[in-house]
Amino acid sequence: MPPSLFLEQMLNGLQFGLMLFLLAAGLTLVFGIMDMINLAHGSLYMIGAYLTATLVGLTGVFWLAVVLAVLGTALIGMLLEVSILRQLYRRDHLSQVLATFALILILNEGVRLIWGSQPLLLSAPEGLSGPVEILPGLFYSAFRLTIIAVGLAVAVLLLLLVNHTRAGMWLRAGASNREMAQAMGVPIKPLFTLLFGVGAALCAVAGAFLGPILAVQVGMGESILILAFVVIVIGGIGSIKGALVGALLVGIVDTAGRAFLPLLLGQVASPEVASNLGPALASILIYLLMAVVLFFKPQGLFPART
Amino acid sequence: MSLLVLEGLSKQFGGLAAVNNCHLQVEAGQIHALIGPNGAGKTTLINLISGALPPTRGRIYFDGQEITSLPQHRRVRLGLARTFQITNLYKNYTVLENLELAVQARLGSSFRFWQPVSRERGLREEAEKVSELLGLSARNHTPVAQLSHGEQRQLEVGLALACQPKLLLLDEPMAGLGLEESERMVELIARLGQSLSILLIEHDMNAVFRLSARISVLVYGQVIASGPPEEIRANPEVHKAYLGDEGGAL
Amino acid sequence: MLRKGWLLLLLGLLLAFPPVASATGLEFYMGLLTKIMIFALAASSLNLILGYGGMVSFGHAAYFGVGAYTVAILTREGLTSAWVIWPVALALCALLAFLIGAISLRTRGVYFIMITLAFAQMIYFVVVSFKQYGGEDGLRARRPEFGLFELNDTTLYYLTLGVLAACLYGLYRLVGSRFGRVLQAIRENESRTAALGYPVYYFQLLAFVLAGTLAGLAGVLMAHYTQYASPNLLAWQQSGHLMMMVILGGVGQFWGGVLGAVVLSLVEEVLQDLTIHWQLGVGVILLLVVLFAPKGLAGLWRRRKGL
Repeated sequence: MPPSLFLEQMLNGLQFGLMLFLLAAGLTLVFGIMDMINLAHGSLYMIGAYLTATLVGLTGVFWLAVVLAVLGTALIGMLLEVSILRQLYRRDHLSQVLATFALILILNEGVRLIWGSQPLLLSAPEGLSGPVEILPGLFYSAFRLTIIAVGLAVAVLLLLLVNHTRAGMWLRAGASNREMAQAMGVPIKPLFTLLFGVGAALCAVAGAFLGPILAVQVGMGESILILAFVVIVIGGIGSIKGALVGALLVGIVDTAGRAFLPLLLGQVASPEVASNLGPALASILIYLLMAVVLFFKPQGLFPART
Repeated sequence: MSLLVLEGLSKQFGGLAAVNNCHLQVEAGQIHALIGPNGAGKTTLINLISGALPPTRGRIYFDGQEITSLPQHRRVRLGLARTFQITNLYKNYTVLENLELAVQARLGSSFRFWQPVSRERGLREEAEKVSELLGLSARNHTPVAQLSHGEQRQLEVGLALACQPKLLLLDEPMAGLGLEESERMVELIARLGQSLSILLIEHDMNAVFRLSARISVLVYGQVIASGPPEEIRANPEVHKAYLGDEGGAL
Repeated sequence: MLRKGWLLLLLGLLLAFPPVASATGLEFYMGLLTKIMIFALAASSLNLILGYGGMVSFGHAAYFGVGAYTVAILTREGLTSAWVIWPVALALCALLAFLIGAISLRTRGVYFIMITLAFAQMIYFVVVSFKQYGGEDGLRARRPEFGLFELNDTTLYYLTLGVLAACLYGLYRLVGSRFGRVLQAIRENESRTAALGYPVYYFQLLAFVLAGTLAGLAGVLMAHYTQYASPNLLAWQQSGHLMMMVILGGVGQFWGGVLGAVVLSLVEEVLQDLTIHWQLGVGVILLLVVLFAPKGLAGLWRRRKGL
């Protein structure tokens, strides 16, 4: 295998992992602090992508569209929190799963009503559509590089926010001990609404940047939502650090598995077996990873709760 | 051989040793109290003995048999039953339903899938007997959530009792009880002590010295003294460990 | 439990339906009823672990789908006897549930939900990756031979009715038995049940395997009904769909699974006739039920009767 291919796949894995982190970060905080399973988190990702695609069409400027879509999605997220999700905090996990599953159905159909069933076209901004030479002889998509840069920037910003601001301190206190946080006089209600807004905004960023690479269509939220859940379960629910490590692990393992497993299998098995088993193994690799992690560390890699 | 023997038992939680190289012998046919300041590792010790937690090091022998790695349900079968410091009952079930579950665990297999359990007279009758012993007969059909705290504590003991243990592990049975309720609990334990071996963890020193034939003192996860009540009362080590409020109670 | 008389009346009506349907040209409704009964079985099996056992499994579609796929693959490979296909399918689902349960039941809470989902996803991806078995297009599932009768829409209706009635009666006996009582005790208070000397893990595992096997049975019937094994049967949305039925009907209420399957299937059927955006309606109804009737329709019924 040529090293350039390997490097390229690693970069792809990093890029995907960073986007997963954006999704997982909001999810893990909501999950860790409010003990709330929000399946509809993936729908915000979908809404972010749809808004971006529409706004690109309206304004013609990719970056402006992204900013507007992120703000719009954050607003929708906060509206959802205030109107529906807030009532679910005190309910059991089963009710939360069901109610947010219902929200998925509603939001999916809502999107279909507004935009139709056909996938939307969202293409990378013009200046970034070509490849650039990152190492002598190694070309890599400029847009994917941009995603990595944006992902890293947002991740750093988020870590700073959580670790070095008062709101972040409240969040961490809430994740490790909710009663204590409440006793300390943390303004829980508005904080939760804000948290949902931030989570939704992060979803929208991921949606806007993954949209041109994957596809902007109904159902895009669910497939990535399950990956995001795998990420936070591996990382440890409620831990931002865990979400980052888990996201990069899942992103790289998944990407590398899809790229290399069929090749590797081809070396040892017949082509027919390899072409069948390769993709199958690649797609279950991350679930295996999760099962193994849970087997040895039932609370994930970085348990937040003490 | 003693009924229960702990040999160098330890339990680490992360870097913290909740129980640290603990040695203890409990003889059959008497009430043995385990006292110690808060955080001494008393409840952890109960969890280790009953099998709710695995020890980090050390061995546990019960009735002449090593049980260190036996699962909890096997230990109950051998005759080790426990109560909980924080009341731990089936809140939505009635008193009798709670007791029936305890009786059922002892009487025959529960891997029976067809006969309606509600028609098993044997379970019902035995549960009623335990309830009578506890003085709860009038409350038989009351859901646990509606019982007073004192009654719940009694039922807590009753559930362990219904397992017909050889050794009863009581984890602070008096916790949160008023004067009158405490008195009733002391009477109950004294009555049980006539026919049962009991390992009693309790903060109420008055009750401890009235009830027990032997007392062990646990400090920082280690037994620092063990002996008859008079001996413990006179022990300077124990006084040192109990400096402050509780020392005055000795 | 509904009264015996009402149940017998209902059973009589269901038994009498096919001849009436074919006389009046309402065969469509016989098919719909077959489908509803199959979902009632699958949802009731989930209700056993979810409602009575307190185990929130988010991967129940795995057994449902594997049951259906076993029929499709075995008939494709040339097997025709239902007397072979049924036992193989059930044994496979039981084994699968045993393996998944044995690992998953080491975890609790959210982690249990996620690990059961993860296993179901693995099975989904493995199955759709086999191109010779249809991949993402699914696979045709021929109807097998029973020898005693020929399997057509009418006999399938009666077969499904018989299987459902037998399974429900078995479940009814089970939840009232010693085993069922312990299973519910574990849901109410796990640490206390363990302290009483019950091997909690084995009770849960056995219930998990039983529920998986019954879901597999429902999957087998589904393959006979649609004559087709679709990846949708295995997808995680299907697990959510079954959970919806249980919640809608009433978690841990004996008739919860059946009631939920009936109501949800009918609602879907009606909404599908009205609009292509029927899922919107299903979502809204479900959301309202979770928010305002936490104990499901069976709970509402009980509340109205003041029980």
